[in-house]
Amino acid sequence: MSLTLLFKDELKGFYKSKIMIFLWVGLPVVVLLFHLITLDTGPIPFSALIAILLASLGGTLASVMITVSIVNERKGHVYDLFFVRPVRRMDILIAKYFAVYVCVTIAALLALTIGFAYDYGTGGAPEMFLEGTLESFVISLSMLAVYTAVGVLIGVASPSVLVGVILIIYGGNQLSAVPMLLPVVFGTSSYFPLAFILGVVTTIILLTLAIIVFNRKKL
Amino acid sequence: MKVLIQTDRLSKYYGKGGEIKAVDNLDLEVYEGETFGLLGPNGAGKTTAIRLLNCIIKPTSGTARVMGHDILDDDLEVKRVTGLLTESPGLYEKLSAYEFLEFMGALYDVPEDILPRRIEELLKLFGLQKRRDYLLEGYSRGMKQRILIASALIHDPPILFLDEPTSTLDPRAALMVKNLVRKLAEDAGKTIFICSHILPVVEELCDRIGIINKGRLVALGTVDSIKKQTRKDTLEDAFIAITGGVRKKELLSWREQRGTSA
Repeated sequence: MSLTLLFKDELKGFYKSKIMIFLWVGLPVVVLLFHLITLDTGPIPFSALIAILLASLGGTLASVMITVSIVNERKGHVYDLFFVRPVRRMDILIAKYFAVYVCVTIAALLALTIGFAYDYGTGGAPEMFLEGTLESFVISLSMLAVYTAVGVLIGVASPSVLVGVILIIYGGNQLSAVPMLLPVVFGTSSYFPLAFILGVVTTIILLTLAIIVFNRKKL
Repeated sequence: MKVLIQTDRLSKYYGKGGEIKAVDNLDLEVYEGETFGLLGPNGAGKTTAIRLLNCIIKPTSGTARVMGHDILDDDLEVKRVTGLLTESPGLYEKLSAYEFLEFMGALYDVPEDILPRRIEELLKLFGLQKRRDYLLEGYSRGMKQRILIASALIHDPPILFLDEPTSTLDPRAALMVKNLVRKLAEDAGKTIFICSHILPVVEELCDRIGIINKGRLVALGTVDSIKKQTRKDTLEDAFIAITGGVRKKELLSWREQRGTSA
């Protein structure tokens, strides 16, 4: 019960603080601008480029968003509101994780839709730009999940917003690349499902660590 | 009288080997309907005691029962029968007063057919009806404190914990909070547990007080009985005698010494 309430409350908070607008309008605009600046991308369709870009751009956005939110709420004693009420501590983090992940995924989908529309409008055949793009997008979503989980862990452990952002830049990229790189290292033939599973497993490990730290931390 | 809060050698230690004794073997009983004040200097262990009793932190040893629920085994039930105003809680400032109370009520599973009426009653009681739809970010400190107390009462708990309820307020807002506490005790029959280092607040509001120093309960009783025990005329003098404070005259003794040597 409290998990659903907290999730809705997070989404409401993002809506009221206009984060959603900046995310949902901003991300598609940024990728469009990126495409306009780097017009010559060779045979790569715009949508495929977006799917690849989303992993790093969307991932950084997600982890910074969640880290800043958690550190600020910790510092502002907002969690006292929940600790004194019948709410499990882990629900607070899980609700925040899913709220950020859903918001960033919607922004990514919007950006990808623009990419598809652009490719279709410029005379590309759907089978050409769909090929591989969806797989890249799913891998990007898997990386986004890891990135967001990194943000939760850093948000819980970091002493300040600044340290949190630095840690994201240092570690976020590296950790989120795990699901993409390990299948290559192992030289597996089933790259796509393995990358997806690794993303999910890494996310669960990171979230579990964050919950343990959060439960033990004196806030 | 029915005991609502009972602690049994409740302790919380910090540091290597537990050398910092935030709360040390606290034995205390608080009765139904009374307003109890826990007094102590800064760092004496008041807030730790209140956080232990509300299951925010776990004790190092000992335990307590709040309305019959053990704080070690039944933390969610303890939280359902208590309301707590912490010393400097944050707020969701992008919510209006109404939305905030609605959200807090939902966290306590207050039935949907009861919640709107209760929110209206609390807004009326706390004089916030006219600004119910304003965002909390625009509220003054006193108004925020009132909405926080209202949120602690949204599930109509029999026990209300207030940690330094007036320490950050101007005299006018502090008076308003004091009147509210009095009203809650007298009209609504709540059991109120106040932590404070502001002696007049505690003296004015509390039926009984306990004085805590370095984690240990060093005095317990009515204000008059504590004054009698220490043979002091005021609670301030009694408090200083018990906790070992320094009087103003002693603080200025360096001037006299300088005057003598010069």
